Amino acid sequence: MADSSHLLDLTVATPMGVKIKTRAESVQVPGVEGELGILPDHLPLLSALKPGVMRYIEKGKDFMVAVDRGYVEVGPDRVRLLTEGFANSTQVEVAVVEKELAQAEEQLKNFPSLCEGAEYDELKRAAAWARARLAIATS
Amino acid sequence: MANLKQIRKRIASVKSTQKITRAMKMVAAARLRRAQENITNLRPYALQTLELLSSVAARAGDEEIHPLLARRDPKRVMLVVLTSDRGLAGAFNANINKAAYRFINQLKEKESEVLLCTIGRKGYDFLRRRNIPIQKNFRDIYQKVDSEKGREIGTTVIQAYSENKLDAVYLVYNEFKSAISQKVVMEQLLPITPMEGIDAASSIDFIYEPNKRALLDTLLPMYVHGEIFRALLESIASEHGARMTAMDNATTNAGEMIDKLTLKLNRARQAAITKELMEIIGGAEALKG
Repeated sequence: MADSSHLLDLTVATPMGVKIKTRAESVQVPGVEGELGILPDHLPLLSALKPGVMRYIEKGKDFMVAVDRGYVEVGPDRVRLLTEGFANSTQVEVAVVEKELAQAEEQLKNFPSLCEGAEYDELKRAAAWARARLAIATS
Repeated sequence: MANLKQIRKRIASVKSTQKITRAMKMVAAARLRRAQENITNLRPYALQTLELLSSVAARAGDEEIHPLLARRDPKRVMLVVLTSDRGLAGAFNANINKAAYRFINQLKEKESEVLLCTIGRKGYDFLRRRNIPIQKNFRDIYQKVDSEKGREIGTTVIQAYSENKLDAVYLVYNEFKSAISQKVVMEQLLPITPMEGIDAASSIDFIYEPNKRALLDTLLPMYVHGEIFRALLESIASEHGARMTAMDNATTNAGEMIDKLTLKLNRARQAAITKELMEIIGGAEALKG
C-alpha cells in the first residue's frame, strides 16, 4: 500500500462547512467530461463537476459520498473539492429524495418550449443530484 | 421631592422595560449562535472559491479578459447596501447608513453616477429620506435566507453589469467579528479582484476541463452569488450580535435606574415619616404649654 508520503490531502468544502478533511490513497470524482480517477502525483488539473458519486479510499477502506455540482482542483499531493451540496449515505432520506427526483423528472418531461436555458439546466441538475444521493443510499 | 406614587409608577415602568430588553437579549443570543455557525461554515468555502478563481484568472494569459474581470473607468457605480429590517440593534444600521452616505458623496465629487440597491428596510428608509434615488430595493430577504437569495440578487447585478449599465459594484455591509464587534466593510464586488501573489509563471499550468473560458464563465457568477450570500450571513450575524450587546446594555442601565429610583423612593418615604413625627411632637408640645 502507499506510504504516508504518498497520500492525497483531500478536502471537500461546501457552503455548509468543510465536510471532508482527510488523507486518502485515491479519489474518484464525477467530472463534467467523465469520471476522474486521481492518484498521487497527478498533473495539476482543474475541472468542473457534475452532480454524482464521489469515491475515495482511506486506509484501505472504500467510501462513497454524493456531491452536487462544483469544482475540483488537483495538485500532486492534494485534491480540493468545492461543491454546493454534500451527503453521505447516513444523511440521505430516501423517501424525501425520491419525491424530489420524481418532481424534477415530471417537470423535465413537461418542460415547455425547447430543452435549453438556465431553468432546464437547473432541473437537470436537481434530478442528477437526487439520483446521486439515491445511488449512495441504496448501494 | 417628587411624590411617592409617582416614583413607584416610574419604577414599575422601568421594570417592565427591563423585562422586554432582557427577553430581546436572550432571543438575539440564541439567533446569534445559529447565525455565527452559518457564517463560520461558509467562510472556508468562500475563500477557496476565490483562491481557485484567482489561480484561473492569473493564468488567463493573452486571451481576451473575461467581462466580469475587466476594469472599466468607474463612471456608473452601484452600491449594494445591506441593513436589517428591524431596529433596536445599537449603531448597527446607523454605521452602515453613515458609511454609505459618505461614500455616495465621495463618488459624486468624482462625478461618478451612483446607483443604489438596498437590502433591508432600514437602509431603504434612510436613503429615501435623503432624497437619494434608489434603483432597486430587495424586500423580504430576511424571512428566509438561503443561497437562492444570493443568486437572485447576484443575477440582477451581473445582468446590469454585463449590459454595460454599470462599471463597478460595491457591497456595503457589517462584517461579523464577534458578538461585541462588527466592522463596516466596503467591498468591491465587480469587477472581481483576483487575489494577489499568485505567480502564474512559476507554477505549472493546469489541465482544464472543459476549458479555461467555460470554467470562468460558471466560476465567476458562482463567486458573485456566493459573495452576496456571505455578505447576507455576515450582516445577519452582526445584527444579532449588535442587538444582543445593545439589549444587554439597556438591561444593565434599567437596573441602575431602578436602584437610583428605589433610593429616591426610600428617601422620600423617610422624609414623609420624619415630617409627620415632627408634626405630632409639635402638636404635643403645644398642648403641654
